[in-house]
Amino acid sequence: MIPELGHLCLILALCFSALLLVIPPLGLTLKRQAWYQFAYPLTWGLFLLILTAFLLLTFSFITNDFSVAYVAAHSNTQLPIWYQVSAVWSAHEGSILMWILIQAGWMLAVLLNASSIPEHMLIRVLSILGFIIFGFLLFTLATSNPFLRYLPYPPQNGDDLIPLLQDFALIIHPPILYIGYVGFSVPFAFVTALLIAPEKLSNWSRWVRPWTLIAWAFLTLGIALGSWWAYYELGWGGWWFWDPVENASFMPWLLGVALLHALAIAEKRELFAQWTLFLGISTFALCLLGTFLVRSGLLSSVHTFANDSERGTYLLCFLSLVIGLAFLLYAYRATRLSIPKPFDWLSTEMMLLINNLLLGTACFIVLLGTLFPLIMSSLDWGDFSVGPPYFNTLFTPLTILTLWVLGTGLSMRWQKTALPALLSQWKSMIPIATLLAAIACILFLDHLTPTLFLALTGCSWVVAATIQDITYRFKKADKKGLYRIRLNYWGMHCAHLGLVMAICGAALTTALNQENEVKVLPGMITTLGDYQFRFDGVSRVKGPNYQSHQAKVTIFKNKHQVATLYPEKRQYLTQTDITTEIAIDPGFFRDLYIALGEPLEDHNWTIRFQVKPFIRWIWLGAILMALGALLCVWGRKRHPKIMQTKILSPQI
Amino acid sequence: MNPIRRKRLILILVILTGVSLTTLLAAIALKESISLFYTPTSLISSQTPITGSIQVGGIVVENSIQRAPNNLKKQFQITDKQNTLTIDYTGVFPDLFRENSGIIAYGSFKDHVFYATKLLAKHSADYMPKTVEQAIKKLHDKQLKVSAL
Repeated sequence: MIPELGHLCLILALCFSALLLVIPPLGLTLKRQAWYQFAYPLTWGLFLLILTAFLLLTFSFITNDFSVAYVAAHSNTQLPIWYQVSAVWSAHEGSILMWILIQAGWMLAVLLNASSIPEHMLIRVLSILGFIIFGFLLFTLATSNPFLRYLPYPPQNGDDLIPLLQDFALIIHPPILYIGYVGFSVPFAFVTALLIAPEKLSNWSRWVRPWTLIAWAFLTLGIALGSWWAYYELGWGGWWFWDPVENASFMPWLLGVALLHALAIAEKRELFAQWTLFLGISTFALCLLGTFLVRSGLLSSVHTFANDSERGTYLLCFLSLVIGLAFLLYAYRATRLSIPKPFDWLSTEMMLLINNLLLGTACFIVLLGTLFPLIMSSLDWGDFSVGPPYFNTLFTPLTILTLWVLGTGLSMRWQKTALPALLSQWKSMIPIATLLAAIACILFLDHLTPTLFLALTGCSWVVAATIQDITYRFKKADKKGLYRIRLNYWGMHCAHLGLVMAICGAALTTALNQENEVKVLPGMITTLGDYQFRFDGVSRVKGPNYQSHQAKVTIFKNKHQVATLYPEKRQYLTQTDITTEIAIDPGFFRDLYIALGEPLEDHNWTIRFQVKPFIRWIWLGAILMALGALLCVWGRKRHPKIMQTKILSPQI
Repeated sequence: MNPIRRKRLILILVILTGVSLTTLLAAIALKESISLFYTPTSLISSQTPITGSIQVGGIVVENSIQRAPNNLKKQFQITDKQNTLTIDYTGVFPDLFRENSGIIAYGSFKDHVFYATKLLAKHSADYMPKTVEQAIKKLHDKQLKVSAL
């Protein structure tokens, strides 16, 4: 009964979204208030229905209702309760349902925080989002219904959740990533609404920017969580694999950064309207493309669990429809929004433009590398795969270039920077940057490569620019003025320093990483850098739903014990596969990382020891970036509410 | 030409140069780091010499794994049900690596031995990497056609 109720909720939600897509825009054209204001109850209704469906599915999981095929395939009576809940979004059907729930949540959030947005714009945005949610609801009901039954003879017990997914990060990684991913549908809807009915560009960017920032912050966190999960769960000690699925989330992230900065220009100076709109559409297009790549199973990757060509075809058609329509509208309408305005070569605008171009290029490179194997195999020119060297060779110079542009951009002013003023700024920036770079280079002299050197100097340049900018701000402001520096100013610096921290972490961990794969006997000591790893043997341990071989490794540094770690090899009772549970001694400056290999004869084991310096900086940097973005949302200028009744003048 | 137009022209020229330069660099980098997929049969029967980084996929042959006594060097064989290929690998096997299941190996081919630098095994026991499954199926179909003739 419960699953049927959930199914019914989804069908009703589909009808609601269809109404949302038709009635309110019609009301706007015919100027009937009751019609277009129908959008509000519809949005509420959509959210509540989908939430109910989601909760009902969760209920089926908790109560072990194995007559539901999806539950039977992904849960088990022995599974701990929190994994039973997270199993809801562990596979295709449930994660699409979660996508829809989050989409409805975003719609409701836009509706509840729309006091400064004109009503016609709000209604168009809701209606466009209604179109997207309609597409996904139809997709769920037609190809991936989570409520399908396994009747008349349901299994006694389920197949269990894949061991790799029985993990804390995997409970929160998909929801957070999806909040970011789906969140980019909001700027997309605003772009389309702007193209349909023009508004003043600076006002428009003020409405969109907070949503973009929030979506981007969540996407950043989601990607960082995914990277952290891959680091400690997949057992290779890598933190980024240039896996197609990782790329799928990284591309919208890159364009998202470009979009944020373009919106900043649009808000301040009303420049680059077309480019901003283009970015808004493309970012969401890449989100949809990512969903298509992950869900269609076209690419072989660690993330693709199920393949179904029917789903792929549907998603591809939907993607082409949404994006095609948006670009068609863009082609017809975008030119009339642009207002050419003068700005100097030496200006913040120019630097932001260059930053946008670099980010666009980076995104293009990732896109090319990700799609290349697909294109080749669909043309029947052979099965290729593109390896990390491709991405690394192209990405490293771009990242370093971006750092230099970022530092330089921070020292510029809007519209026009006078050359003497700029030079006097640089005069105080260059010593700081040189000092920082010198310290960093001396610290890591033994491992200094040209790449590391350039990355460190680039990071120092940004830090110097940040310090310079903050002191300039402090000097300019009197005592009272200091309190008036808004949070978004700090948010900007926080995010930039987060980027520097992440890049430092990535560069240092790549250059300073040490690892050794050895065959060990109990009592044997392996030395790696400053650390000695003593293997103390393996014992058998029993967990709630698994058995494991647990090794004990004691680590010393200069004869002092640093840590005792217990890496494992696990055998889950319902699975035939054995999984590696690595053990980490985390630290701000280094991680000690041990992965147990295979048993050999005579109590010998193979084992991998790794010392990974500064690896945590990558994720801490990502957290700072997300925090910076959120500070920008909280600290933005509040705008007076507008009188909603006056708005509906003929705008078109 | 007015200043705004001139600036725009310069900008467009700069962007065009940048784009073509990146495309060129991307093409070079791509050329050096793509690897083509082979099966043991296509590798052995290849007329042209095979150089550089490639990938080969197949099913691990039962009882074919040999380990060196003192280090992590090991050899095993994979098959596409027509030909077998010896693979040389140093390191710890991935979790899902086992006999009679599909794998993809990345590395280079020299003197009838494939030197793997990376192994990729897939999730569940009955699942085979898609490329391997298709390659085996294609070979099988071809064989059926030949025997029908």
